Amino acid sequence: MPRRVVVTGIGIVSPLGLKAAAHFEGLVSGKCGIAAITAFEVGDFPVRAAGEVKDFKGNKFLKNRKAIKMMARDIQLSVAAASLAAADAGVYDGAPDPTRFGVSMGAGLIPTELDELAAGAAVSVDGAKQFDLRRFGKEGLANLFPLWLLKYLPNMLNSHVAIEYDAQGPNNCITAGNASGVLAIGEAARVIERDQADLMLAGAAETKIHPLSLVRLYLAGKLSTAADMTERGTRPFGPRRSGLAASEGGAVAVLEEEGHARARGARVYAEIAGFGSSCGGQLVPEVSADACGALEAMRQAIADAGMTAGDVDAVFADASGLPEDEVEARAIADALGAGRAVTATRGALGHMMSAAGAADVCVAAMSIAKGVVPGTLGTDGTGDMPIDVISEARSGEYGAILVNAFSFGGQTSSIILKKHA
Amino acid sequence: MQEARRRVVVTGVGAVTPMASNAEDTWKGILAGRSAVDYTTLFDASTFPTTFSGQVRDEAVVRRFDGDEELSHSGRNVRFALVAAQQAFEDSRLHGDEIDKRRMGVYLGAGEGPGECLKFGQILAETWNGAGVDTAAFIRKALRAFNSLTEIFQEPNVTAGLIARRLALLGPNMTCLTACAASSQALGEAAAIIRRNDADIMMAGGTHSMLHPFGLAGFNLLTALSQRNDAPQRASRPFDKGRDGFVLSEGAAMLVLEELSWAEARGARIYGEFLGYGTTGDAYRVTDMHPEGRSAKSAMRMAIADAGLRPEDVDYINAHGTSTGVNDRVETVAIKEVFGEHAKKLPVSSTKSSIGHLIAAAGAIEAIICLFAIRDSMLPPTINYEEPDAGLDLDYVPNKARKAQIKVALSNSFGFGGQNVSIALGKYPR
Repeated sequence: MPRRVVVTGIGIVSPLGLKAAAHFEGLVSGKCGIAAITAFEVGDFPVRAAGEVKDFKGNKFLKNRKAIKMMARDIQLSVAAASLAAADAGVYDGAPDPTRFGVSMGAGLIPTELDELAAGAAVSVDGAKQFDLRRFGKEGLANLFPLWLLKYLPNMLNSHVAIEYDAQGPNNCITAGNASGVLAIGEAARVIERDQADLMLAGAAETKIHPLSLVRLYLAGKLSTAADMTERGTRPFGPRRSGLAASEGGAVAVLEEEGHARARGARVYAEIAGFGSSCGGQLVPEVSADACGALEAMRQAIADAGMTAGDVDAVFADASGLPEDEVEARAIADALGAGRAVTATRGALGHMMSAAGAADVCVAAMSIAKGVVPGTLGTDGTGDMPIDVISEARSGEYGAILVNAFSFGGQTSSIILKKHA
Repeated sequence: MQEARRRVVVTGVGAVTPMASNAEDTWKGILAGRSAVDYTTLFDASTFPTTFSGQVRDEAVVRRFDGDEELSHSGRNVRFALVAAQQAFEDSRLHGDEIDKRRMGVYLGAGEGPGECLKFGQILAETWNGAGVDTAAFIRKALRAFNSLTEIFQEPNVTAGLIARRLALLGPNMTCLTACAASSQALGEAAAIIRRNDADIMMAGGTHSMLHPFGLAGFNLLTALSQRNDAPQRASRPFDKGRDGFVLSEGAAMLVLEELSWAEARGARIYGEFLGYGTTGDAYRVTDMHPEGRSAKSAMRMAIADAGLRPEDVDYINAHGTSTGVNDRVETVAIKEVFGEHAKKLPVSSTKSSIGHLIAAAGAIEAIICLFAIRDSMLPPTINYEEPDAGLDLDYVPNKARKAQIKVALSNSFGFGGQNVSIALGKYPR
């Protein structure tokens, strides 16, 4: 018998709140997480709003609060979500066997905090006020935090989580752009299936609320400047969509081998049923994501789950308000046929990047457990796209939900959760 | 009844290293005991605490894509990777059309792109107001100075996407970045994907270049790098008493992993078998290895168990062996404990002594070295080994390559933050 993997804990910090319940209820009740940027002054930058995690204090989620000085915000969001998930699953004090307890996190590229590097750059200019490497190599370095590099390594998301929860088992960090969250959870399920661990903290965290990240997204043509996105979100799939909103968050699920969960009487949200990943090969931003990659990931996940398309009751789409939403719509229609309830949370949340797919996996597990799927804020129809995007939360019996997450670099990932029986 | 596990073999290799722009010549240089380390010329590193590196000096490799529109803004890491992947694919003698393209995937341990350090530094200097950066001014200047494509190419996942499209490998596609363990991790996970029947062929490996001012600065600040500026070729000296840090290198290495029965059916040339994979986290500190190598030991044990072997079956270890004080001591302690009496006659060498530390790409080139060692029955040496250190008393294959029958090799890769990966590779047929 193959080993089965279930979700026994969930932790989310997002623009809609500092716990999974707030995130879920905010989505179900149609709240918008996008608001004026307050983290720093943006001047005359055309984009005025983003999805900030408000009132977030990373050290409140840490056992070792001193470790906070070693953590870029992405890492803080990671440990916060992991803390909530571990508590929710009843493994806050660690697992019965630490060597069978692992971590798998999705992460993005973490830019340096500007002030930190600028302190070194400012003393490294020559007489003509030009940044000079010869000065940087001496005076510049003397003005930088000695452990600077370690604050920004993507794998610090998983390393700090492993330290906090004494998780000495398999440990991975997926850096596949916005597909990372779903891939990290899918890969964690594989580790449990192949019997190298019984418990995994799996998810992702990322922030794009950073001056350099905003510049990068803007230059790539991804950001919407729509004035009403603070109320209506970024209208995924909608004819008036005009880009995504930068956002941030962390989402972690506790994955557990089914027998292990049963033996310790853990509450089960849902079961991981199937997982697929592919690559459309798309790279240049002007070219839309390749429908083949999206379709292939969904088909693999359905086949892996031993299901047929008709078994999937709802889809959490990757759509975020970009032109490529249409490609996904057609791929969903091709993979699943018409009539499936499709919801897209990136409209209300902004795009939490790596964390977006991980949060959707968590929300899908909660949807199955609670019998309600959130609607898509601000949707104003889908033009001629052949899918049923739900605008309001929809109650019902959800036997299986598929979650998509695709990267800008072409990676596609799909995962299916099903009711645990 | 459980079906027999699908077996995974290596049928193609490719590499761009400081030693050479292919795998075979890299191997020859290592066997000859050469050092590929020299003063850094990629940028002016003359005032940095470390002035040398394992730089890829074959600029033809980098320039090869100059006319390629899509790659016009790509970094060295992407170019190294494409060259190595192309080599590996050709070496495997796959045409690419003999199998459903969705059954062929990519799994890389790939680093971020180098970015535009000088521009970034300039903007930061200009917008520093004495207490902090004027972010409004920073955004205004950055929007003018930065190029959108250059920024996109800094994302670690871009490389795997490009390889997938250029070689039409449209199956599972992932990238991990577990610091210095990344490409060993990628090999292990890629093999797991084939074993699980989610693909038949995987291009797996790594690429990285942290050889840019901010990368060098980061490692120098951690005092992780050797500062033997008067003798770069002698700087990487793993296990030697005089070691004072690792040598930062760049490069890429790729392996074609293939399901055994499929590879045999098409008459592929087989370098060796991928036997086992172990991955663990130290769960100790982000700044230091666990002093007893707790999870380094469990990674080695996990890889050996996954291979269905016993410790005494291992004939050679390609050590992580960075040439830092702590790594080489802890790794030695861990090996002694895992292998017991067998450790006394078990050759352990670090080829980082010749080519330095390729960071995310290190594990993949070291896996290729293990396969060549098995094929040629040759143990690659630890060069620059002059003076034994107290307690570091394994057979480090000092300074000279030597003949030995190798049926099973283990390759260790340990990363900052406590990432431990160990993989086992074996002779095929056994």
